[in-house]
Amino acid sequence: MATPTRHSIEDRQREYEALVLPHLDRLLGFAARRTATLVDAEDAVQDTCVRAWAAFDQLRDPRRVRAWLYRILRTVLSESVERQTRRAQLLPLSRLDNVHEALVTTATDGVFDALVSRLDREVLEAALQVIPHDFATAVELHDIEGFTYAEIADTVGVPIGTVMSRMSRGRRLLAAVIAERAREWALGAPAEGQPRRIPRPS
Amino acid sequence: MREFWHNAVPRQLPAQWAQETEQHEAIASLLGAYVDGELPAETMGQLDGHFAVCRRCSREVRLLRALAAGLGQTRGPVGSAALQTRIRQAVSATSAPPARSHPLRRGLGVLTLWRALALLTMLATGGFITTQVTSRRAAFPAVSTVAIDRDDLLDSLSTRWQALATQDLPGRARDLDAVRSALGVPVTPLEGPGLTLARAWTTSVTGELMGALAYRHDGRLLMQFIVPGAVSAPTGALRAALQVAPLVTASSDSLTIVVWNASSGMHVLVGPDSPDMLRVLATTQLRMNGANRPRP
Repeated sequence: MATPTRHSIEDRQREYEALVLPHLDRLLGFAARRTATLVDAEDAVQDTCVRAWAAFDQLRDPRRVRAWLYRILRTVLSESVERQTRRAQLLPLSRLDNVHEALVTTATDGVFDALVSRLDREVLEAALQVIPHDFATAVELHDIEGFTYAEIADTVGVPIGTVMSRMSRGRRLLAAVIAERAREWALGAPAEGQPRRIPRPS
Repeated sequence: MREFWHNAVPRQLPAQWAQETEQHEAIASLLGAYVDGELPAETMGQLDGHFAVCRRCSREVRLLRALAAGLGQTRGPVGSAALQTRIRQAVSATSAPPARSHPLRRGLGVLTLWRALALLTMLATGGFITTQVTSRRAAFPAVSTVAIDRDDLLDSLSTRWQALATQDLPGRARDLDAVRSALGVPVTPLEGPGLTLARAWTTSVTGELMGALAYRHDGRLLMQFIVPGAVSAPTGALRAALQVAPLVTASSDSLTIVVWNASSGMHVLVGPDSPDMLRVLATTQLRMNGANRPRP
């Protein structure tokens, strides 16, 4: 392996910054939804960038830099913060499936329409913190980060059919969690002036 | 839930209901991909036909679209200029060339063969830090230096350096402000040609909270440990040496250790560089910040 000259390293670093730094905000957002504090998220992103630089030669196709960065970030997060801070409790998935089924098959439109009209960012972010990690990741990568199914498969390292399944199941679980907790989160028909009680992620 | 099942299957025979349920389950697995436009056009057309007669599936599509739209509004925090600066500095400090790819190669890059042999020799002989009386050279700044024999704290810090040199530096890279805040003392990184601060974190060695600053110096790892308020903490030979000279050195076959006291506490510099080089770095900082001579 030839030792790169200072000039070639500087060129590589410029290329690296041009490719990586535009994704910083998105990486930070993804990390922030998985860490307890913004400081932890920034640390994870910094680690990701340093690892990306150290492995920069492994990026064969610059067009895939985004998926590559998220793959590194997921590794960084899985090694530390994420396991400790997220989804400590087990969800009764079969019950949530039933809740979802009841929601889309209910005889009247009132409940369904009320819920759909209240699916805003705040509610969805809270629900994302609750559903199992694999499903949440697939949904976030697609709906928030704008990845295609093929890019998600590449990032997460699963077949595209699995991505499709996780997307469907993840969204169903999101809807079910929101429906189940509608009263707890004061989503139904709040009294005049009553504030919402959506818990912030711990 | 009983009410739901009652509503879901009104006036249907069980066989008919089961067939429709099975069909819906198969279709339901495609609805997410339908909403996201990830299905072939032919399949999309078939599903459109189904939605025209199926309230359940058309509702589900509505729900999925509302979920996707809501999530699409999500905006995370914006990376600050300070974070970008931190990242640029950290990347610059990672002196390993970008062509570092294979784990084995990476490991060998950090722990070179001669260093591994030196480590094995030291462990086999049991002598880690040996006395080395250093003589000042003409070009070296005129700061008096004494050398010492073994010291438990310095042994521990040497061992810590060996561990850090063979693995990735601690992953939770904090910035200097976090270290300053944790230690409660001013922390000024060393400065010198080719020297770059790579990481800073807090750690505990032999029960002492200390700051750990990792530098890259021409590809070599250099560690600075800062024991806050430890002007009078050292014992034995180290304490005695610090009372007679601003700089104390110790060395092994492959590592040099330089110790000095400053207003922020006791500083220990450990690295594979030459004793002269580490003393230059230490002296520079001593002169910038002013030595804090130990209390009698």
